[in-house]
Amino acid sequence: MSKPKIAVYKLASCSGCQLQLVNLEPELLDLVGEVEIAYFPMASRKTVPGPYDICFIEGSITREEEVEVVKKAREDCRVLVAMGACGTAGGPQGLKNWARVEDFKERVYQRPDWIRTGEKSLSPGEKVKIDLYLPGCPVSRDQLKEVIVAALLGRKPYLGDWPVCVQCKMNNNVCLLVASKTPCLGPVTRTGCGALCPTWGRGCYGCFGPCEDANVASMGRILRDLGLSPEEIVRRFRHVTSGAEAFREGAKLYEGQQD
Amino acid sequence: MDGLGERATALERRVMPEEGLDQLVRALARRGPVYGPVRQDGATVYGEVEGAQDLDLRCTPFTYSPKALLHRPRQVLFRAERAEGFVPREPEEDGRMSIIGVRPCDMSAIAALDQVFSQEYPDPYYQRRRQNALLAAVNCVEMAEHCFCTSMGTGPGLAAGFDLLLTRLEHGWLVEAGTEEGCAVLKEVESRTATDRDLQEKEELIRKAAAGAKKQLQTEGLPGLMRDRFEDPVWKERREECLGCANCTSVCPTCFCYDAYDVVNVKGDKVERTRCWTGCPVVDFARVHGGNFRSDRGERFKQFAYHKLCYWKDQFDRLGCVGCGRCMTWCPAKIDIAETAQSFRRGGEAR
Ligand code: SF4
Ligand code: SF4
Ligand code: SF4
Ligand code: SF4
Repeated sequence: MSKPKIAVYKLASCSGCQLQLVNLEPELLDLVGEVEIAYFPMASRKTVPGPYDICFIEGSITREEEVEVVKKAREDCRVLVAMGACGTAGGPQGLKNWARVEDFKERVYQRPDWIRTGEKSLSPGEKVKIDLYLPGCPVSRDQLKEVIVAALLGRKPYLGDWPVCVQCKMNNNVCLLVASKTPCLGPVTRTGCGALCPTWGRGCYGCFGPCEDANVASMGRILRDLGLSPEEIVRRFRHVTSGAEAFREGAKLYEGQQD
Repeated sequence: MDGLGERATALERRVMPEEGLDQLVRALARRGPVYGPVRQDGATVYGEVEGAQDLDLRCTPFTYSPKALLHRPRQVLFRAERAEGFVPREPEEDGRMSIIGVRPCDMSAIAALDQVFSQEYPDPYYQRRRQNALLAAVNCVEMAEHCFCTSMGTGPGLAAGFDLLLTRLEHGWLVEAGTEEGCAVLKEVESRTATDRDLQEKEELIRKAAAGAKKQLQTEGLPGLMRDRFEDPVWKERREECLGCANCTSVCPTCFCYDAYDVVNVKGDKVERTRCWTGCPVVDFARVHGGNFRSDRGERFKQFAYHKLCYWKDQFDRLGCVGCGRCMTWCPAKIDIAETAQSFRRGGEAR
């Protein structure tokens, strides 16, 4: 039996998620033994033509030609996995969806006139069907490995789509939101990070995007009670996964509201 | 169980001076690791302690229970490797340990977990940890804002079930030993025989603590009342507030639910099955093949409230709540199931 072929595509992104694949050491060598890395420009010059068995797509669509990349990936791949905050919810660059792109260009780049980018940042799922969303900024190595192993075994990956709080409590952390009144998006954010930020004394930023059935209205009220202004609440929901539906709703509840 | 526990069943009663506590911890430490309430980030959590200076034995508002030491947040169930077929290996055993500073409500919760993990499906993982644990409990001489152990009959004094039971007297500590092992530990500590006066002081302290209870939940006929109010509009309000975050069930000393998963290596020749905490407020909890029988957040929250205050009675012939007040303390949305249930007695409203 020939080895399953893996492909990794990149759109607008920081490459941090792809790097997590490379960081799969010490099991990386085993991985190369089990699968064929058929298309992964960041790691290997070798390119094997499709079709591919599993395809990871990193990044968001910010230019017209990237729509073609996404369609090609869909055609070439049996299982299409969208990775990261960009691949699942437009990423940090999705902030421009809620502002004027020209303003961003001017603030971020020295030579805005050299920058060619579209008005919006869209996740690939807005153009093609995605089989599995693997959120995170960047994605978690354990989850990435679980997806690959599950695909090899032909079973569903176990990703644990529950709020960060569940993991936070398993780590025996004292809840920041309650004990020190630190704003934390843990109750509405999907786990996968192992409650990384709260474990180090920081409120959850929501980088894995919303958990299933996230109660953003209640979360918003709690943040408001902690003294956050409506504008600050909007910023928190938009941070890195502004395109995710629940966080979009959460931001909408407070957008344009006066303090 | 009257919860006052003025007269605990003990084999021996002695009084240690202030410094005795440190000697006691060190005597326990000779038998294995000692865990007790330690201060961390503005709260009290169970951590390993070396001496009395590490311990905070006060009954303060922000605390975690010792549940995690017995029903582990993550527990490896077995490991297996491919050889001739798969060969499972049991996880390594832990040795003797002591838990010091267990409050009466938490002792009642441990008794509840004993029942849960020994009845229909005896659970070797819990039972092993439990049998290995020496419990040095401590009576409460003050009650925090959210405590309602007096309502649940679980505190502030403890009557039985301990290896050692401490009570802070004005001068020194009264230590009661409930088991032979407790007596043996006590022998290694400088102490004198307790007098009737010492015991009277203890009774007085516990009664005073109980009189200071600020929170109440009337338990008489509670399961029936809960059933009558199953469709009460108040549950809709809770539905809007509840985040489904499971902080309540994680901190609850009697919640026992878990999920299990396999971690397989890339080569596919090694597997590790682990179970981890989960709770009914989480969406995934009731997802089974073909659907989710509690897909609505309100229904999930109600499962928590109803299991604790109603269904537990049918299942284990006691209530699932010991009145520790943790779920309401640690709920980010400040949801208080005891207050909600108590509000039915007043005919409505309130949180
Ligand atoms: S610190 Fe944040 S993630 Fe942790 S339990 Fe509290 S709200 Fe949840
Ligand atoms: S009751 Fe509170 S702690 Fe429990 S799931 Fe709901 S919001 Fe979270
Ligand atoms: S239901 Fe709440 S008050 Fe009752 S035992 Fe559990 S955490 Fe404590
Ligand atoms: S209240 Fe929920 S999490 Fe707790 S034991 Fe019952 S079903 Fe399990």
